Amino acid sequence: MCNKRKECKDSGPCRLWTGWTVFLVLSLMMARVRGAWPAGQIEILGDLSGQLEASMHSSVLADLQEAPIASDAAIPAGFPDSSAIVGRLFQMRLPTKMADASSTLKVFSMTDNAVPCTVKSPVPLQIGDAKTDTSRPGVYVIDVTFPHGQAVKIREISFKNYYTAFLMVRLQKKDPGSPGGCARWVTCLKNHPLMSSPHTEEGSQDYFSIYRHQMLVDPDDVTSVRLILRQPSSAWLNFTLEDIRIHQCASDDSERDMPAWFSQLTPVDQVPDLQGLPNPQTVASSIQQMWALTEVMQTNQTAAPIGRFDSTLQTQDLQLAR
Amino acid sequence: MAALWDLFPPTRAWGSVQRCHTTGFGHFHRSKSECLHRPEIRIECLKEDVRNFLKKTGWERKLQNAVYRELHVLPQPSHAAAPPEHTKEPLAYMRKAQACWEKRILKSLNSMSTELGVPLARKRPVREQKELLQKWSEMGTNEPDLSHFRPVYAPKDFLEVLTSLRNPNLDSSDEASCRSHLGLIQVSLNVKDIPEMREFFCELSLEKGQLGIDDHTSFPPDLFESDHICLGKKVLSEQDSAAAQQYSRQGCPTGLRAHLWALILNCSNDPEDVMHYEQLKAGVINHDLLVDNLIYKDVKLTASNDDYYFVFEDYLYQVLLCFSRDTAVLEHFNYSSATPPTCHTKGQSGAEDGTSVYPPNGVVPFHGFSMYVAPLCFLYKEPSQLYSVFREMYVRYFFRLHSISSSPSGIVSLCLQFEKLLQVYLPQLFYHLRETGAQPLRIAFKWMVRAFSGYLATDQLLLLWDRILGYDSMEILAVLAAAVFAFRAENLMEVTSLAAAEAVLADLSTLKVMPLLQIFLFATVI
Repeated sequence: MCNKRKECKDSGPCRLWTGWTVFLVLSLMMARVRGAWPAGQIEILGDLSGQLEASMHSSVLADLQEAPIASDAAIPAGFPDSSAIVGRLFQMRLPTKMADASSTLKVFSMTDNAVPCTVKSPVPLQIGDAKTDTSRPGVYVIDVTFPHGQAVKIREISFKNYYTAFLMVRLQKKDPGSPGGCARWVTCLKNHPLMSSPHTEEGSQDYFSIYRHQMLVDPDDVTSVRLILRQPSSAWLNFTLEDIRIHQCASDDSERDMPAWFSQLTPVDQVPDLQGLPNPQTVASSIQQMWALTEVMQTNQTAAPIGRFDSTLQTQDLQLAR
Repeated sequence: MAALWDLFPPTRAWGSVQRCHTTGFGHFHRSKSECLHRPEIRIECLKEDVRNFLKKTGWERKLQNAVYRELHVLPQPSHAAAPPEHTKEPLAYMRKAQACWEKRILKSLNSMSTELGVPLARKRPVREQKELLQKWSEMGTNEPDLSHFRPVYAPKDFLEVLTSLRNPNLDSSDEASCRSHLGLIQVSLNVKDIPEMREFFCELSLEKGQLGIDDHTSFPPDLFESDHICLGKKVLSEQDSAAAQQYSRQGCPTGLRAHLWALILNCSNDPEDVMHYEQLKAGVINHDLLVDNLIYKDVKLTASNDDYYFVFEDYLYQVLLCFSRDTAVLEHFNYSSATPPTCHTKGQSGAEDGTSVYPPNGVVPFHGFSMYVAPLCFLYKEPSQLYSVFREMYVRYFFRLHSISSSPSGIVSLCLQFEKLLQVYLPQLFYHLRETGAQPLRIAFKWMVRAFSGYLATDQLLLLWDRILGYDSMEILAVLAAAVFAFRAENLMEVTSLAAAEAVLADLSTLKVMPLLQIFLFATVI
């Protein structure tokens, strides 16, 4: 494990991780997770180089973005964020395959109802060969998908514009009526102007939100969102949308989206029937101790090889309560 | 109040009402509580009675004016995800350019301080304080040694920064296209074209009366002038800011101008304002700042040499020295793209070191800064009222003339607008001047940065500033600059160098502003 930690430090924010690495603010999640973690696969990888800033433009999260914008060089560096540190980022690697097939881990974002989603990199649409043609594409398509084929009831799509003139939004909705539940594409926003004139700067770097009531169809049961960007002016080298977030409705209906086993979990106020399992509170506090230990280890670097973490967790004791 | 709600969305209006509540409305609360003691107020209909009382005593109108003032300066409500720097200036490259420019200014100030061995700020010894207090109203008689001081920057330095402003995302390939910028400004901001200007400045059109044209001695006063003056007196008696602003679009009569401007800017000469001014004066007497020397130098170089303004030299010192110490000016940085410069303070023994804004108002004066105050000296006699009117005009309009921003009234937009107007109206002249190396903006820039102060005759300048206040926008400066070029186009077509072009346009003191504007906007065929 010390090797992995070292290699992580050397390569900066690690991009090539095989497991499913998750960023957590420690106090949030650990009490709720119950699962059988196979021995030897929990690795505390220690602190990240960044810190959690109170800003939408966190430089750390920008590294994580899986959709690198095409031709990064053209995009100007933004104004540096004001440093209001609100937390620390902590990296943990969790296995993708749980011992019990029915267990899942759900990550909740800190912002209001923003659904975790994957934003694919913009795909240019161009007549003619993209490589040899001298003119630049005037249409880009960005696909946004939700993990695990989750169907979302969208309240708002927010983003920061970067020189896109017109926006069209299409949604892939799960059709409950048809047998087999196949999805169909519908247009929910046509030619929405973001810049008052495509040749001038007004609106070019502004923040926008598209709300439910502006959409032509109700964005319920949405499995995928497609943003079609148009910039007819040849004055600009590049155009895209940044910081795309999908916010879902905070309603009681969201319980429908949860996997079935969730309802089997005992509610928080009731004392859970532990059946010989350790108390989740003690598990959480011991994980915090482990994290504190990594902190200490990091600050007291020695040349001597560091042994494995002395985990007080008895991993074989953790099993999903049925 | 209902009309205000129609003009501005409720959220903005509410925010401004809340601001009014916190900023110096003490006597409003006192009079409210006093009115409750009056015998005619009844418990049953307390709300209505109080409201009627407020209406009768004029407090409702004052509150309305105060809210209207706040709405002028409050920025547009922004998106929840937008960081505060985005509200100040949405374009990232402009923020960067402004930050670089501010760094340069601060560096220049610091190097001046170290070279000359003058501290940025020092406490005056008691003897010096007494001397200054005695000579407060005749500071012009001081002859300090200012030979080593130079202005931090001049308008032409700022022009160099603006011409080098580039959007990294703009396609600036060599091939000429219809969108190539032939002028000095290379950014593509949204500026109004002629039809939009005609709509925006519709009160200046040919069929409407204007002070500056229709009050000429050859016209009988019954035609326009006497009616306009009556209307002005009525507006003043109503004490309505919005009405005064609309009224001044057609010009303010000389006798009513001072009151009308104070009404539009919502500046009163209350005892509180006088006390605030006295506090600032005490600050000037107690401490000496490096920028004071810059102000002295600037006044000696510009206003004292001007035929119209040299008599007001003492007033200029009294206003500008207090202005440097006024921390209330820092509020305008919320909606300006600029940030006030900070410096480290070395505390006295025992006191902590820290950072503070320098100068206290965050504004570093440049060469020609005193010309913003000079025309106002014709209107106001009381230094405290002169001061509050100048401060309000600065935080509403003049700050945009020396900071880099994408605002439609900002200097970058004005420059671009001037160049575009000239290219559309006078393409031959523009091309000729460009070919001879006399880019028109190099001549017109200094006019626009000073809002034409010091270049036009004072009565014409005040007519121009009437329209700036009336339309709440400085785009008229760009239109006037283009109109001046159009007026002297024949002479300019003969020039063969920048110096010759400057000589043709050196003297604007004989120009009449309103006819030029009217002809340029409404009577010229493209």
